[in-house]
Amino acid sequence: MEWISDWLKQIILLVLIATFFDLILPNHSMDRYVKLVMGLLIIMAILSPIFQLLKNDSNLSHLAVALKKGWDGKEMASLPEIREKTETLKRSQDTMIQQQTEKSMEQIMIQHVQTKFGVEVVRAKVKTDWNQQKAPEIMQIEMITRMKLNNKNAFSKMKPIEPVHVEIKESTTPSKVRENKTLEKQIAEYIMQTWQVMPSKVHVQVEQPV
Amino acid sequence: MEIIQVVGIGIIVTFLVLVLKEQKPVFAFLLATFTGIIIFIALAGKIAEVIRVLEHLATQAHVNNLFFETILKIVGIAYIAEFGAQVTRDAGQGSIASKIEMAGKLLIMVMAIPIITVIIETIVQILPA
Repeated sequence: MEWISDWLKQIILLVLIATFFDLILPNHSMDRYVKLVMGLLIIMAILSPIFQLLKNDSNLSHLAVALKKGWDGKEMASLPEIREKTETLKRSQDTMIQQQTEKSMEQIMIQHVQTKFGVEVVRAKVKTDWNQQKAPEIMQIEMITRMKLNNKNAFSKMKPIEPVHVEIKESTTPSKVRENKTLEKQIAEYIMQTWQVMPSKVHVQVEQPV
Repeated sequence: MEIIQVVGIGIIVTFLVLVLKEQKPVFAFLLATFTGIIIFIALAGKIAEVIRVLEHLATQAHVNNLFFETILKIVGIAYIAEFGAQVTRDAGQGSIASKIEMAGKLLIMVMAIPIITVIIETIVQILPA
């Protein structure tokens, strides 16, 4: 309501000024000129709210159009598309999580096997999948290891392998194979125990040192 | 009590002019003119007071300063032109008096041009292109 009183005050004061000027003027032939100017000023004062309204209106309409455009583009294909997007996003997130877990599992396995058995892990592959409780579950573990050439220390830790290791130096092929087999078994058993997976899901292969 | 002074000067000068007109009409005219100027200057201060009040009103009404100045100038031109025209008319030169009045009207029109252009521009802006 403040603007209305402002507006009215302006008009009233302008009319008062106009009458004063009328009184001041010395002769009536000049009257018309001053009256014209004062009349224009008073018209401006009366119309000023309309001017402001028009200016604001145009701005607002521009804004409204812009908003409508912006919303229309997004809302047109809204629900199905958004759902689709969420689905794809979820899927990609799941796969990312799966990959991440697989990778970290592989790394942990590689570390443990390398430190414990003193072999070089050539390749470790863990395959996981989502079970019914929406939790990742290990489906398969593949590991290819290679004997290190200088791994006396590592083997000395393992009691059952030590005698086998001595045999390697004598380089008899069947015993080597047997030794590899036992090592494979040990590694597989270790993995089965630490990760608690079924024995059918673990494949360990020990290669000869190059 | 300025009115008594002004009226007194006016009456005295009128008598003087009546007496002087018989002997020297030129001096009588000069006397009348100067008296007119003196009265005009004496009243200029009063006009200043009125204008000050108007200025105050205008600032309160948020009237554009340009407009107000222009209107004041128009009033001033009107006063000066009126005074000159009256003096010349007193001297019996009605044609010159009318020329002075014409010049005053023209100058007033010229002064009003900025206001009219501003208002016309605003109105044109409002109209849809």
